[in-house]
Amino acid sequence: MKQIDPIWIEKARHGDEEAFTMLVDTYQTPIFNLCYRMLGESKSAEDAAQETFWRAWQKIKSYDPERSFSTWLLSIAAHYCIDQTRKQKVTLFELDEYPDFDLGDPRMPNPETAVIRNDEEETLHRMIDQLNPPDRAAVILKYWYGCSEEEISQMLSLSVSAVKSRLHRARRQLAEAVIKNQSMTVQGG
Amino acid sequence: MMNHYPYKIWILDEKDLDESQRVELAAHLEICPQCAQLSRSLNIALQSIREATVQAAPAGFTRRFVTSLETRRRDQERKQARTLAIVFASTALIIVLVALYAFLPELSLISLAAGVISAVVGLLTYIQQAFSFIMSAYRTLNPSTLIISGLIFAGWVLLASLTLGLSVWKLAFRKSEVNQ
Repeated sequence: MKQIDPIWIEKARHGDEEAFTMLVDTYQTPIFNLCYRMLGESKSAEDAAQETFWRAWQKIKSYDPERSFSTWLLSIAAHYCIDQTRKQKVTLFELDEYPDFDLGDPRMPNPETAVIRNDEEETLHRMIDQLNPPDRAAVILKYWYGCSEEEISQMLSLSVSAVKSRLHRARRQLAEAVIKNQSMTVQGG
Repeated sequence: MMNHYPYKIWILDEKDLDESQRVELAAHLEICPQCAQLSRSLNIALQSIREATVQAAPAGFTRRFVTSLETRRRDQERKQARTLAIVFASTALIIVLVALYAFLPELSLISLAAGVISAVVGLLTYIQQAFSFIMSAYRTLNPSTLIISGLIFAGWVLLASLTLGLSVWKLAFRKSEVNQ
């Protein structure tokens, strides 16, 4: 994850809005990605990411500079998304979220690759969506952000042993989902 | 029946196994299709998570955040003002109640309840008296007088309703026309 010059964080802590905007610009993607993986839908993810930065702006004076800023932000986002998921179980996945194809742009995947990627995304989302919100957050933080169990425990306000048991349960559920998916594919021909 | 302990735990905990444990697990996976499937499926799931692309924030995310700051700030101030008003109103109510209790020591819940009950009883008595008066008038007066009195009363009610309706209409609609 990108790291930012601590001077900007310090300025933002002293109420500098421009410095905070710089932080939003730097961390928008990791925060949005976490929200997207938690909620599975772009619109809710953007709302959640915006709310995360608003909460961070309100609480920035209480931020401990000894702590990693990105970890602090991810923690706010994870807690918010867990609450949101509990409030309204978002199960819908936007199937129309195919990227706009620009044939002139060589970096864009061709339509066939994009469709395959979208299918994979949908399968992945269904797999993650079956986990309960804190387990889902633990999995996302571990496998997308490479956080250690200690870091996850701090972010989610859980004990390390609770994180371990949540990850254990989540891995079992993920493996079972793959087995189920494979057996359905076999049955479907 | 095959014993899967501790292999399932080793698979699901992603523990750092020592050399002998690794050999033992590999040997178990060779002969146990259930644990082999679990291990394989977990690897597929974790691989698909690790390989998934990072979803970039939509274009204009920062600009939208900056724009929303002012609105959010205003909403927060409004919320704080509302909370403050509720706190002030509650405090004032508590002060009034305490003052009533302090300056009117004879005021108690029992006397308050007694007051309410006596008022209700008084009202019921009044309704009953009015009803008996109407019934006695109905019995004593001749039908033509009753009909004329009824018509006068109905006309008066109708006139009062029309006046009230007209006033309300003037206040509600004429005012909004002026505002527009």
